[in-house]
Amino acid sequence: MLTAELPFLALLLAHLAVAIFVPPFLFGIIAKVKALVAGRKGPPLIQSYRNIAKLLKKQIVLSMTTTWAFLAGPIALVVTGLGISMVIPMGGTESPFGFSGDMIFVAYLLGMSRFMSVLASLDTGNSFEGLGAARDATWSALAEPALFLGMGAIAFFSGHTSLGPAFFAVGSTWGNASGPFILVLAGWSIVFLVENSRIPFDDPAGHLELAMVHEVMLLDHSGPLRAFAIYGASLKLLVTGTLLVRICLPIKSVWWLDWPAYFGGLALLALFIGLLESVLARMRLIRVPQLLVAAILACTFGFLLLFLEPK
Amino acid sequence: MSKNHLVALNGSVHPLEEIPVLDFEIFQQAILDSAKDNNKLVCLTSDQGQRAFAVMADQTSKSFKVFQSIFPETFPSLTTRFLQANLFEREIAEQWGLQPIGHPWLKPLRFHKQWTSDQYSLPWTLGDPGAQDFYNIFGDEIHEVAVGPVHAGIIEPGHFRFQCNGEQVFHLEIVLGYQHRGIERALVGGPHQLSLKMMETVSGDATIGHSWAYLNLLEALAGFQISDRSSVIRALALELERLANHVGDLGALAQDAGFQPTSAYCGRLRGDFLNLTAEICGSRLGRDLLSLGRANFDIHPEYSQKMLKQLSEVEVDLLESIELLWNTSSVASRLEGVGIVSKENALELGMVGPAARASGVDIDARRDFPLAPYDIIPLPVALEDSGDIYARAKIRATEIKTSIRFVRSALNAIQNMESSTVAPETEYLPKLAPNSLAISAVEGWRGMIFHLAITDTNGHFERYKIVDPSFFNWQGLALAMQGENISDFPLCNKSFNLSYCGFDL
Amino acid sequence: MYFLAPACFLFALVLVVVSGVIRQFRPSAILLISGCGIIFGCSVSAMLENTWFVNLPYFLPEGSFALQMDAIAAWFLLPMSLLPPILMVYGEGHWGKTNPLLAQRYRLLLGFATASLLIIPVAAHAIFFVLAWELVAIFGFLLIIAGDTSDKARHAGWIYLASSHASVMCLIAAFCLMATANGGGFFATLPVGWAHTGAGKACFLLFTIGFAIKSGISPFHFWLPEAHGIAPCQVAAFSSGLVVKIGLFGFFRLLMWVPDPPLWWAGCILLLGVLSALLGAINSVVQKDYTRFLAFSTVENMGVVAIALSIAFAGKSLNQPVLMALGIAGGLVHVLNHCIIKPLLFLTAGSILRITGSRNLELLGGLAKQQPRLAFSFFLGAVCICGLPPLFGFVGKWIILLGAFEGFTNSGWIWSAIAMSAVIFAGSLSVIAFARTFGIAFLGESRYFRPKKTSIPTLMKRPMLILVLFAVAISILPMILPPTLQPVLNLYDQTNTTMNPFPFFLNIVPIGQLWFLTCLLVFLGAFLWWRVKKTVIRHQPTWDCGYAKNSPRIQYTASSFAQILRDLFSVVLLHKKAPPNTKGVFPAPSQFSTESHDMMLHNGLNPAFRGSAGLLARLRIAQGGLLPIYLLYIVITLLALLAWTLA
Repeated sequence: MLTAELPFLALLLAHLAVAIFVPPFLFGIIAKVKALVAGRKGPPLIQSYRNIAKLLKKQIVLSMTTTWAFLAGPIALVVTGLGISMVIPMGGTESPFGFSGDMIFVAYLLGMSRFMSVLASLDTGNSFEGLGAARDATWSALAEPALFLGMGAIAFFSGHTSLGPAFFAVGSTWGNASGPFILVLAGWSIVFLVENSRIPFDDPAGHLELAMVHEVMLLDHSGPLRAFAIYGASLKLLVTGTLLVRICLPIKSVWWLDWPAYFGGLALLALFIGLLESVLARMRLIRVPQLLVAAILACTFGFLLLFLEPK
Repeated sequence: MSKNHLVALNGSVHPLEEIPVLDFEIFQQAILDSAKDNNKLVCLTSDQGQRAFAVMADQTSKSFKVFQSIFPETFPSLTTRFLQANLFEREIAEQWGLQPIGHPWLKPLRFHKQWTSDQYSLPWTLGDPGAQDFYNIFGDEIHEVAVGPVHAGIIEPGHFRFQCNGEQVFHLEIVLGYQHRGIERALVGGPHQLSLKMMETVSGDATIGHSWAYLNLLEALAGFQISDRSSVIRALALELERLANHVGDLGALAQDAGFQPTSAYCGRLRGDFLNLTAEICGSRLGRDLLSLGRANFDIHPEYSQKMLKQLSEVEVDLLESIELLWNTSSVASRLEGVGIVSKENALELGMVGPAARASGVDIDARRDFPLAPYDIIPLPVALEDSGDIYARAKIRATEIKTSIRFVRSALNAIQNMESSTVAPETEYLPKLAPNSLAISAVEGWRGMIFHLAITDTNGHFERYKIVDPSFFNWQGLALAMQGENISDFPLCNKSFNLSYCGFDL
Repeated sequence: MYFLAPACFLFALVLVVVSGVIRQFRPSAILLISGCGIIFGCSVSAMLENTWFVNLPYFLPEGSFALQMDAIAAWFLLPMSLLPPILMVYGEGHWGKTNPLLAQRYRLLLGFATASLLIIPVAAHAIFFVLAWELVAIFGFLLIIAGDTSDKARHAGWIYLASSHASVMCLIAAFCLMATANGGGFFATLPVGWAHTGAGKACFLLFTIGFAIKSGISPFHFWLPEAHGIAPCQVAAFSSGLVVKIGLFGFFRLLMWVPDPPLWWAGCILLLGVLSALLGAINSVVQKDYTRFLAFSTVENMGVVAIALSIAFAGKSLNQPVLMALGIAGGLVHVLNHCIIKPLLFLTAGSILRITGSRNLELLGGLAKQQPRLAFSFFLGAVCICGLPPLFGFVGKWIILLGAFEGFTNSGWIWSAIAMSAVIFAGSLSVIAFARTFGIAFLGESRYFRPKKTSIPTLMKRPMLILVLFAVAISILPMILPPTLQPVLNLYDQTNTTMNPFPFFLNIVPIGQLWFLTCLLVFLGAFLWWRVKKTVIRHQPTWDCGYAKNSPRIQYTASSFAQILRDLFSVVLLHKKAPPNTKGVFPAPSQFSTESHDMMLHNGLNPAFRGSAGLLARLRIAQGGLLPIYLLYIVITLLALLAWTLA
């Protein structure tokens, strides 16, 4: 089936545009949904853009304890996010720089951003950031096998190790293998929530440093660094959300249907996150590994079911 | 008299000669004997550093026992034998420089200079509050977490020092004193024109509690009687204050657990309860509602009808939102089994209020030392036994329901009472009985508020002692956190919701 | 002409040996550098299809001095010839001024150990191979206890020596079995079908145990942390960087000899690799001693290479050339990565030890401000060994994971899913471990150690710089990897002539595309960095909530960072906690400490040895101490043998 794709340059520009301009909008949707459920009007949808723009104009205050590692944390967050956005398929089956094995590249870019965030946190010499960094790094490490087992399932099913063709094969044949992929989707949803530090793992609206996971690692950043941190977090939400959206979305044929479908999927995802945050409370931190093990098991069972099914 | 103490009722005044002066060892022994009879130490203080006064609360006889003695320069500490004297002895050492020998943790309490000399009590030479050594667990794998005095949210200043390894807290030490205003010292020679205002702001969210305790004591010393209507208005305001704070606490607990529905609703509903108080006196916190011998504002029938209607509307929303809290399992898992204070610890520390009742300690000044109208309308005492955050939240919910019923019945009763029983304006600063001791206890929303006053020969205050319920309960929070996870601390702290400035005075 | 290369090789070996004997540093260094340089040249030329084989006519009982240079030997010889000069210079920098005698001893042992090490890849006869192996073991032991005569050092040395000899024993037995199949000790391809016989199975198991012990693969890894926690860091660098690789080299040779390995061999190696990767990673997260931490990281990385080898074995068993190629390529790139980076990390650790005088991670902190370049080299090393982009460590992990994906997608070997999960999980744990070590040691404020302005001698700094340059060079130009890997792949896959270079590295392993994207990201990062640095900056102390009197204890400790993982994996870790007794309002003074023990050593070997020592002690009654009794034993034995031959 011929898919009418965008030519390479247009695809590259589209990916760049989405990666740079769309992420703060997702934060806006989530905040608005939460406010509406709570009975308030809520901030305008473009509030995150205003925050980032305001922060970009400010100066940076650095602690005397910090070194270059402190600056590198938010920068690594942004750079790895953009790298992932160049490789994942958004509105079509191709990505500008996709290559065989880019699934692994995506996971390791996430690992790199985690490494640099931990370093940036330990750089301040304060125990709050160390606390948050330990939690964030440990949970992401426990969640990574689930991510990879899901990717393995997708690679096995489609025979490709590049995300673009792999998601295409999955999406276009949903009816045939929906059982395992629902399990993978469940596991990946938990991984998504962990990686982005949402409820039930972390309260992004909370202000209690002792209970923070992701927020506390950004406490000491100011000015443009803080803008990078907020933008980088929203970009991570976008790219990990794209993984979820692409595994569900059936592929149509032409680009002027695919891209709106993709944006609709993202908006729906943001809506779900907002609703989830409005009705669930945050988990006790010592119980989090149990949930992550559940995610690993879900993805494992999805993978095994696929493997043992007669193809 | 064969008795070695004075028996005083709540809101009574006695001449000082009536209190027998004991030898100091007999004084301490008498306190210990009284404690064996399940009496609770309510106050241990000195006037100007010479005489020692101890007040024990006796729930069975609904009265207080007052002991008197003379302080030697140094004395054996009572704390090792009787834990409830812990903070009182530190306070005495700080205020007058009298040294309790053998006190296991003699640190300054509020970081101020002595009242008799312009120096700090030995062996402390202090600069900033809190700049002292803490209890350390040795080992290079332990890290300390220092929270405060400036916190991430807009709350009062206080310093918390955790000894942790990873997520586990081994020890918590709380250091307060950042908001010491010197209220007790300012009252010496009073009452002044501003004394009532000071009382209202001892702990701002317990305005009615502290001001009622002060006025009760002042009325005893001045010999005033207040009318039934005024006392009902006072109780009504106290219960409204209790309601507003409990509702706010439940909302804050939900917010710290990340549960948005209850947090949003309770936040709004707290405002509604504060508005009910504002209906009476124009101030949401109840400032200027009470004054000597009277209530400054009356509740006319239209007002009480209006308030009853508002109360009904708010009640429905409130009970629904609280039920949501219990029925959501993700919230319950945050609250149950966390931050446990055992009944033995609560009794040992002398905790009061909802925090103590959540651990099974049956103490409530509205039933034990009732002022009018609580002696006629007894309230059921809410009691839980698990001592965890869930119990403290449940107590608040139960007390909310009890208080709503009381407010409703009070509003109905007031319509049927004789009108114009608000007493005419009396002298603002009356003459007080000289050389006397007066006590007063009110169940504020955090627990029993206790005031004690000693007058000199001219009828002015020689010593005024305020004991806020937070004075005892902060130690409970420190104990509750031992062995818990550090991420549970915000919830634990919110479940106690103690007053920093009530402690600091 | 054919004999030029082997002659050069042998001459270079002689130079290396002589360099150890000479007392002065400069001539010794020149000799070692030139010797190693010649060997490097020989390897490069071997890569360019100039392989050779010689059989020296000197007498070796039951064996012969046969040398064979082929592509796989060349690949292993490349790092083995690069590192020893670097380590020797570092050692001179460390001990040259303070302890010249020790420096000389170190150079001697290093020279001899290097020479024996260099023989192993090219040995073509079993006896020669085992002889070189044994020499490496002995010289390695001597190096480890070189400067330290304490009980702890001797204990660690004994464990090392015992393990090495256990591995030699296994190898001797395995080679004997192999000789029955080959009809002699010369290395050759085994006959088809022999691998499935009983002798073949036993041979494989013995080889596996022998090679696994030497490379520190679980469950035989217990000697690594003990030895590396006590040895001087340059010795640990030599051991971790080079000596453990000969065990892996043995596996590569085994892959070459066996034409039809059964599939369960791959499973067996996979099991060992997974165990090693996971145990090494988990243990590395909780270590208090940063040199022990690096040792456990070696265990983990050896596990990852073993996983790659298992993929290669599976490829060979299932007759899937692409799978085998991926396994081999991934394993080799990761070996190269580890060979360069682990010595860098150990040398950095040695510098830290020199400055601070302590191996305890909890006492350190804030070193990045005194030693920024040291911090940066450790950082680069950490990023590279964890396999994070943009450095070339990622290429190795990427190829191994591609192999794992290939295993279960196209080849139907489902166990590669376990391989994939193990590599990933070990990788993320190692990211945590390295972030923790780097963060606690270099970042923040100093905890208990008050640093003096100690500078590091130039002779110690230059070697680290060279290793950093190597790592960066390969990362900038990863395109040099395919042409170096291609001869090795051709060696293993001679049957398949369609495996020409370009499709494999263009379609299956597109290094070029990876490199392009990585370069873009690095440039973007550099640009953002420049913009951020230009923004006006004010400096203030870290926000401390307004508290007046800060203390260095208000920083996260390494033990606290690892606490969640430690409690989660407490079953495996055998971590002993001594919790403080802080109950009540006035707790007594108390303290807290944790201790970690290696599970294999603590629960397995130590009780086993103690038990057997107890049992064997009972035999002591046979040792009367009187000469006539021993003569009686001899007579009885001779009579018994006589009876046996006659019967």
